[in-house]
Amino acid sequence: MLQKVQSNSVACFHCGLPTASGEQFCAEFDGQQRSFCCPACRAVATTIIDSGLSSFYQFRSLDGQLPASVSEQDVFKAYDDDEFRQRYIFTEQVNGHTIAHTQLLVGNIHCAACTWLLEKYLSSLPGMEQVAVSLTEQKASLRWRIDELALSEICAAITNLGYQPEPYTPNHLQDLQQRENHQALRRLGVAGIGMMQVGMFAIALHAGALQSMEPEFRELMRWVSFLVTTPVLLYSAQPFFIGAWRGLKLNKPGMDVPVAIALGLAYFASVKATLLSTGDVYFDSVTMFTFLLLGGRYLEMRARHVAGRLGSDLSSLLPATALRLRSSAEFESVPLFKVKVGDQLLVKPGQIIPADGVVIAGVSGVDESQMTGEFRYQNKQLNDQVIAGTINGSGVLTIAVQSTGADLQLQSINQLLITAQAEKPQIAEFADRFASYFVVTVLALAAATYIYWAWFATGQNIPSPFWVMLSVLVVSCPCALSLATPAALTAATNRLRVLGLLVTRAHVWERMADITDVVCDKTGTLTKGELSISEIIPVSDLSAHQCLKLAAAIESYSEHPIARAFTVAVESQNQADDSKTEADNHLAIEQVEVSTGAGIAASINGTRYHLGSSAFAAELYRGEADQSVIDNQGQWVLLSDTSGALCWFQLEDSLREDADLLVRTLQSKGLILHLLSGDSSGAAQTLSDQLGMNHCAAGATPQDKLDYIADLQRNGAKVLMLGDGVNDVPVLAAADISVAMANASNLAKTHADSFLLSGRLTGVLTLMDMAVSTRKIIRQNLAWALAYNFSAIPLAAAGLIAPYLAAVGMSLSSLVVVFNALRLQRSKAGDYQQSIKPLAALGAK
Amino acid sequence: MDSLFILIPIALLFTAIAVKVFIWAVNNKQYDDLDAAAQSILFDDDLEIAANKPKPATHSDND
Repeated sequence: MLQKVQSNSVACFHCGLPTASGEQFCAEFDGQQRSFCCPACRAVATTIIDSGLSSFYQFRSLDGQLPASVSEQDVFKAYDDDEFRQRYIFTEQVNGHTIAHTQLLVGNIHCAACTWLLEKYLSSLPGMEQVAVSLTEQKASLRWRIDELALSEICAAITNLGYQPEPYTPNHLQDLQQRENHQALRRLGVAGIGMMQVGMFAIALHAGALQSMEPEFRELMRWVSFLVTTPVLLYSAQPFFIGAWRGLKLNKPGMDVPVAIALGLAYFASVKATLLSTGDVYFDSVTMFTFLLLGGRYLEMRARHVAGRLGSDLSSLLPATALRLRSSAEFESVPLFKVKVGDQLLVKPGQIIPADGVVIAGVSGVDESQMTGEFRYQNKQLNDQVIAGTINGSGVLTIAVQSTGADLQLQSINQLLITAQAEKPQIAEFADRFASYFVVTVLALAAATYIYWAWFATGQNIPSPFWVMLSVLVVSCPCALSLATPAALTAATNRLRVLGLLVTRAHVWERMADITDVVCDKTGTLTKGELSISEIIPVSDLSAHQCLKLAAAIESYSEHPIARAFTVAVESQNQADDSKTEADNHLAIEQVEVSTGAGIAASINGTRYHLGSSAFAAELYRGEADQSVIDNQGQWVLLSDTSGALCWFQLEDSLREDADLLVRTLQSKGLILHLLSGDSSGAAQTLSDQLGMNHCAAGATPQDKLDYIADLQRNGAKVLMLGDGVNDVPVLAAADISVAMANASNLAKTHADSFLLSGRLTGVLTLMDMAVSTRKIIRQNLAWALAYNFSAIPLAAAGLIAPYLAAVGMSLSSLVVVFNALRLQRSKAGDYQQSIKPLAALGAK
Repeated sequence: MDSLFILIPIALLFTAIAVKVFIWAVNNKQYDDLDAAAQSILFDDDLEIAANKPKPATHSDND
């Protein structure tokens, strides 16, 4: 008999994850009953609402963020350590108080409501002077009286709200980014203000030209335009000149070269016209051109910075503190940087292992999925190796440190990544490649025009050769051409950001249309990375429901992820058949014993039960487990009592809701799908068959995965890799396009080409559609810009276009390009969300 | 029309001031976080904060 267990439960009031809706995690706020998924969420919500900050729940944007376990607060004691203080906290004496200031990185800030909540709550702490929380930087700047309030208390308060504080080490990259941002903004601002001023004078000049303005006013307008344009050219347009010079030096003239030449010539021609009071001035074109180009570049830069800020470096995978053995049985919390080889560290359940080492006491399961992709807990006991960055399961471990800092295994994975990145082929952008030829052609044409009009032209009314040449240069000025690509990319990037997708490398747009193969990781990518019960096979007189209830009761004493699967299953069953009685809920459980890596034993109403691996369960009735009823795929656990086996449960990592849709849609686009998993059990193959993937490779090490991708590429395939987890990072870097899931580790985020922040797989489809339409728009833009330039240049060379008309034409062609690009921002491309059941909406408000 | 000879330099002066103010604002990180400030208006700052402070920050009621 098979039974499929469906989970249909209420969303947690705080974090929005589905709850195992029972009585145990509920609280009443504003007269309404709210359900929570865990005690931590309930504690956080209680803190927030009791502090009168309930408007947080009205204005935040929700995506499932589990608060850190509330019980780990004594960890922050290390923050009061003297050496730690010297490193991270600055103090000064003001009015007899010691004022300290520091910055904390605060994990989990995801909307403006979070910053408001943190600022309000922290500033209500006694002794706090000033709190400023930045959403984009995920950073809190604090000023407080350190003799009244310890940093550990502040951190504990932040944890109470469900955020994760971490000391902020002044990061070179972030400082650089801030400086770059400020400089770009200043340049943009100066160009913008200058453009408006010069634009007004230009209107007066053009109107004056038609209505015969008196010469002295014309002179005045020209001189003030000159005055305003000069700083714009020297300050704002500086990057173009520097870029052009760099390009020339490397013998690869890029878009900056024609831009710089056009700006320079138009400016000097205008200066000459102003000094000699003849001809035309183009100060308005110079400033407008500068402003438009800088604007495009600024938006591009911002998108890049936001993406870069999401992950900083490897060390943020590690905790900031560790519990170190002081004397025989006493442990003290110390900052991680003080941990040395040979130290003995205590690792509590649920904590991240802070250093590579060997177990000297204790037994526990360790989640190494970050390193190996293997989801199931690895059993660790005396003399077993543990790796920094992996997560301890239910037991308490004492480890002897073998390596720290740069010697960690985590770092060797980083090395692999650097190699993989170096192998990535560099594709020059089309516009820049083209620009090299374009600029040479335009310069030759302009020179030829000058020569023709200066020496060969005959007849009356010959226009001045210099002005004709300038017309050619201005009209051919590649403004539209150089805006064509960045304008489209900016619009598309912004649009995708709204949809929860970040694109960090430009080649995503170029290569997306050529993709032939999609390689997916299993754990945490196609699946949610949490276990659930997929099949129940009772082998005794007891019904599946009774067995499940017994198993859930026993597992309620375990912290193992398997235990949660049982709780969820039994709750949803109770809801489904509504047959819950008080007696069922209170099974008398005694003598619980957990054998790590094997199972759990307990007595219920006097009967002894074992739940765990088949061998462990069979031990109780001294027999052999009959495995004929189950297939060998997936993970099975057996429940038994003293008389024999009772029931088999199959545990599966639950699939994301949209995995099926993703696979079907990609296949309908003619792409080949591969499943590449580090998991060596049959689960990967099962999943692959279930989804109808084309190929499947299970049990792959990071090196195998790299080889797999390289093989595909050698056979001419263009590979899109969808993954997450540290062990995927080198693979992500080797693929032609890489997409990382939102819950990927920080490292994976830093190095993928794009990220799905929404945690929805259909984002890949949206990204593909958007990339295709972006490429289409870029081509339209380039076609328009080229058509404009090639039709206008002959006219200008023939002396038929007055220079001021050339400037108007150039500006109009740029605007056409920009407006065309803006169509992307309203694009409906890839609206796949409608086709899946939306996540349980939150009942805030 | 001769007033232009005075008005335009004045306009230039204002432009210079605008540039100066803008640069000051950028350097003071006014443009670093454009999202949070836009939404902070939505929150009720006047609600009593029960946690630790005896009273919320003083604010004048327009009664």
